[in-house]
Amino acid sequence: MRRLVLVLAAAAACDPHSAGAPQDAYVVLDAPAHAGAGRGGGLLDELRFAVVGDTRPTNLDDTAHYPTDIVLRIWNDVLLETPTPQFAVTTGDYMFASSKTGSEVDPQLDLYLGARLAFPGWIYPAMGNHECTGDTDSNCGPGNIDGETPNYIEFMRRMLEPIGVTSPYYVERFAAKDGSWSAKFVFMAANAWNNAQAAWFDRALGDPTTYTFVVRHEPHDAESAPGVDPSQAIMARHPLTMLLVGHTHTYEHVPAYRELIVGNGGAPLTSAFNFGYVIIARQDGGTLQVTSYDFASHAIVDQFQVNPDGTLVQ
Amino acid sequence: MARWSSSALVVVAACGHRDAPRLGPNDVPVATTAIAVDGELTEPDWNARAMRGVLLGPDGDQMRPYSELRLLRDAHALYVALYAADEDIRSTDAWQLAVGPRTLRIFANGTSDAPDVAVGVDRDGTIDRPSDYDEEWVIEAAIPLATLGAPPLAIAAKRCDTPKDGHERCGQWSGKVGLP
Repeated sequence: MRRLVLVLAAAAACDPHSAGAPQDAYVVLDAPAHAGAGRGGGLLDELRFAVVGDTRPTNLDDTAHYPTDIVLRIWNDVLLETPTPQFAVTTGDYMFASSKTGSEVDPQLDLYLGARLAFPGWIYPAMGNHECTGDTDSNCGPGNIDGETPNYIEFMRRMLEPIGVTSPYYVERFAAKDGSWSAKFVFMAANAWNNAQAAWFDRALGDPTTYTFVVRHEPHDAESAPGVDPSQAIMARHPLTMLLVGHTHTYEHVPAYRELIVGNGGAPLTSAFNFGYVIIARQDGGTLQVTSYDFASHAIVDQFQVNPDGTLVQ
Repeated sequence: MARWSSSALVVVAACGHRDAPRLGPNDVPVATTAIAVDGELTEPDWNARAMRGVLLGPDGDQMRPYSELRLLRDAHALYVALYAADEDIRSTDAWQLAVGPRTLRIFANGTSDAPDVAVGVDRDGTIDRPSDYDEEWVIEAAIPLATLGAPPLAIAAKRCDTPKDGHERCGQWSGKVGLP
């Protein structure tokens, strides 16, 4: 793969129309050698993606009141963005279903995945606490205290396996076709935490890229989730562009933690922010523009830029 | 054949009517199983049968933070479920309820100002810890029917909350309900 990228980079260098490499051009490119987003990531013309999060009904097993219309409208909005985002990431909690009976897990995933079809692009999901038992302090997966609940099993089977992922934690690698930048998206599962994930997370973050995004369900202060504090400690040792989270049913930018909360995807709202989504787009100079939209009015509710190292552009 | 079918349908319809009285849109359904007053709305009737009201803000839109009440009854009590989305749960956060002749307040810490009203609470978040983000709290309460007077009952539910942006927001729902 690295050889292919070197060839691509050399070809770009020989192009008389090629502009000089941007300042953020240092990369060790290890993205899959296919054009566009796909399994494992891909080679892109530009980095532009959507973030959507937290999509569940108010009450346990209340499938009749699943926020299907809101989900559908959000994904329609994402599709109609110009230019269309090349992929999307989601921050977890796609259901509110009893892990004891499991009877409403698939009916709720049917509604979610059906509405999500409005956006035909690749979507990379993070695991939320509702994909375990529903409790923030729950810990699922083989060998963990809550084991493999129906919520966990069906999340893995219906949301991760179709994108070629067999573990609740995984990494997606993207790179510019002209070799000018690279990005890794490290999806971690704070509700399927164990030593193996900790070691993997440390290694994954150690892979040098221009941009590093960690996608985790819980924000930094949801300390009862088993993997939050340990992963915060690991993240502190590595470069980080942005931590993308949900769990809190609102939109919020927390610059001190380079954290972006996108949890207003249909679950009952906790603040004055309406339902909506976020678009993150790389700019010519290498900064990233983050724009939060209201799904009803399409009004911009927040917009800012960050550098590849996560610092705010003043 | 057509006449026989029609007669059979009438019989079936009559039997169905006798077993399950038709509820009006403002009638509180009877619970089909016992309700455990624990704040966890795990009884299927809360989703399948309960009367439901969403609190609206002064602008007529759904209150933010989202707030909702559900009602069930049995022979002895009116059961009230109160859902409160809340990013900063405080022990002083409360619902104000007016039910027939009674008024009461029920707090996020699971207490109320009415000793005869059983209250259970389920919280997702930390109480009185503003440094983190909370999610929601759910109240389940049982109000003795004998204290409520004759139906129909006027019910009003109100909640105010101050999210982390520091602006207090209020919402309410009101209606007149039957107890068939």
